[in-house]
Amino acid sequence: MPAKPRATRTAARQIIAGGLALTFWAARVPAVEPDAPRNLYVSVERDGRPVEGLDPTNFRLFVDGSPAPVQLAPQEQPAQVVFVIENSSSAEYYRTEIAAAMQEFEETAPEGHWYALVSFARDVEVVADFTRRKENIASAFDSMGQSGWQDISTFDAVYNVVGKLRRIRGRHIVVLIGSGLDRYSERSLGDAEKQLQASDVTIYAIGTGTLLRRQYEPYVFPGLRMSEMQARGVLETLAEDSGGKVWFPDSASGFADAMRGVFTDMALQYRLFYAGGIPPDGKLHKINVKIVDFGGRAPGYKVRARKGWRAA
Amino acid sequence: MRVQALTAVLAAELVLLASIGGCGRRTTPPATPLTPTVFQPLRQELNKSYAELFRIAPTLEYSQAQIDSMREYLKQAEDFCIGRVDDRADQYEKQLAAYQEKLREPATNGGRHNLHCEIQNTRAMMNQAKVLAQTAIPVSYENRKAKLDLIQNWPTDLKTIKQQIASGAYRDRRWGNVEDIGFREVASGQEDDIKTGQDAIRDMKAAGLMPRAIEDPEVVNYVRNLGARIASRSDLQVPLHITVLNSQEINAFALPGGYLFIERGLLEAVENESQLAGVIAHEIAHAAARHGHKLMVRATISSIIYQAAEVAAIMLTGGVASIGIYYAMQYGFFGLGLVLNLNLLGVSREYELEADQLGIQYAWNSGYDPSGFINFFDKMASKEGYVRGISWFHSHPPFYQRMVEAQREIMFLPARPAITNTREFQQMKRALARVTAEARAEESEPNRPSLLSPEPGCPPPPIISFQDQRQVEDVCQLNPEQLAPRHGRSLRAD
Repeated sequence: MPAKPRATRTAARQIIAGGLALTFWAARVPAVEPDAPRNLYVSVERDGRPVEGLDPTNFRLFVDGSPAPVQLAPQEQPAQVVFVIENSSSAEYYRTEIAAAMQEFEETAPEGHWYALVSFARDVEVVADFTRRKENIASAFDSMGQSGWQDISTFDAVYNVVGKLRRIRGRHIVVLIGSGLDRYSERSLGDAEKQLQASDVTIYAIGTGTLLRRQYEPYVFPGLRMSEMQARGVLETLAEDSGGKVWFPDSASGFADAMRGVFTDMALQYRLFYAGGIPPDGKLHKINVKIVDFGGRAPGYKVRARKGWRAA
Repeated sequence: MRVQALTAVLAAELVLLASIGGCGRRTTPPATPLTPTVFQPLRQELNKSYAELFRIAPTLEYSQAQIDSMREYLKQAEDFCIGRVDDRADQYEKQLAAYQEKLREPATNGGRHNLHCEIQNTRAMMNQAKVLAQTAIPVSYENRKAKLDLIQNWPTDLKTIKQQIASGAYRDRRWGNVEDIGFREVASGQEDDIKTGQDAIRDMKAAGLMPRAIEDPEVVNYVRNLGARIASRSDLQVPLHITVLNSQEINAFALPGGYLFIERGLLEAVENESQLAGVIAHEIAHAAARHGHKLMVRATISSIIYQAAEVAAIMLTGGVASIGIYYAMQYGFFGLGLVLNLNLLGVSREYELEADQLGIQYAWNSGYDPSGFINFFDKMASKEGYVRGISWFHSHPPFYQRMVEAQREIMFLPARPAITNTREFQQMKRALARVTAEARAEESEPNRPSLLSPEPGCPPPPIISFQDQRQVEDVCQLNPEQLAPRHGRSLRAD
């Protein structure tokens, strides 16, 4: 069995696994460049539970179908976590639920990371720039005004925030809380995906669609229901593209659970490290990660990692 | 190393530009028009506070010709000063265009990053120079000229005031019935403003124009208690809501309906409780007299916000930024008030004089030394801190008229024991120091990432400033050290 107690992942082993390559990495700008070394954060689950204690021999990495040598490295600290929250006029209906998620963040999220808050409806606004003080983010959320616009620019929000993060060194997490609907963006979903694929950002999405549907279900016509399903698909796509995760809670406690899930998942991710160039051909170069035990088998592990890289 | 090199280049540019004369304005410092034995003492008088000048002006003996010569000198000095800083702004603009031209050339990632940093910081310096030339320096010289007017005219005005007091005519002035404060009607329909104020707050928040609120209970409770005390002894007939904003701007503003906003920079700048009471009373007076309602209709709020949004959309690349923070970044410490305060609040000469009068009455009626307002005004107009509170003065009535009217009102009020300071004020200052230290510690953390910087990883944009305890017009003097860039808000991202 490859699964071992987390305690066995000693700092010494991680340092050896990271090797000298980490020194080189630290001096590099981590935005995806054709010849840059790669950081790949992956989550491993089995039977719906996170698997801890894996070592480098348990991972098999394939880039465009070809095996690539891989090492384990300690997670970059501190991470930069950006909450990107929809505040369109319709978001008012589930403000309480989002507030529950933000309260959970304030109470349980780890100290030491950098946190920022961005809101979006028609426009995208930085409500609070990066701070280590969680209470500042909570307070900024509390004072965040409700937009009068029904227009929603989900794609622009993702595109812009990821674009900003690409230019900053460190581990990047986006917690996207919204419906996934988009009625106003200049950018398309494809643009947002390409931006994401050219970055090292992981998106965790907490969908408000379940609540939205409940609010409108008696009145919706098929076209609107289809839009809501598509919006759900948008959030799934963005999370899957980046190796993140998506939740669709239907209650305040569900939102709080989802927020807790974000930070649990973040904490348990493995940071794989490999040297691999990305040809500047504009194509998506696919990543595939498998878990094997010493016999080379892959007995039922589910690996979540980004789909691939695309050179900027 | 690269950061140091870039900073050194910027400093060198400043020194170089300081040696270039202005264009279309006076390019040489004006000669002193008076003999040193007259010029130096008169110049020193202009550095004194209004309170002191009100006291000593009747004893000063300057001739009409001497005062006229000094007035002409101040005019020429202002012209020279603005010319120099204007010229610097032009030079930065040209430099900016040259850097932007270089963007057309192919560059490595590192070279492109350095170019972006150059553009970012040159743009910030250009904007600061423009604000200095267009607003800060003119107002600073206006303050000097007002003190010259005071030396010239106050003795006569004082005689008139004393005659009005002796004859009892002072009771006939507008709002002279101070014994009826709270029972007279300064403006009817104050309650109708509540919704307007709420709408304005919502719009400002939605547009990202409202800084974050301070939550420290010692600071917030103190300010709210002080505001409540003054409001209860004023003509305000609607509930007062005070929010303390975590912004370094020296500013306070009232939205219609009793919504008062005090910025952290103001609490840092006031020296005693009577000064803070004077400012709060002034803002309460705006609300009680419904000045906002008279000039700020909803269409105005929207148009200002959209105008600001349009500017931000043009200037920003990347699309993500709060408009308020954008202005703070681009203009150093000028912040929210520079773009919004006066446009939104409908400041006019008439209303400002009325708010001065009523505010002095409310501070007095609350037991405070009513000259706290004048003392704070003077401190702000004379010292470096003034620049951070620039919006508080912009387009207000002429300083001399404002100060004389304020002093006249103080002299008309019945004398009574007045509070200047309290233990609670000192406790608030200590609590505020903690809040400020926390805010500054994080702002200056070298590895702090930022979503707001157009180009992360650049050295902080220099702040064109002047040394502590110097006058704002010192930026125009020959010593280039006075224009040396000083690092301000950290915009570093890695």
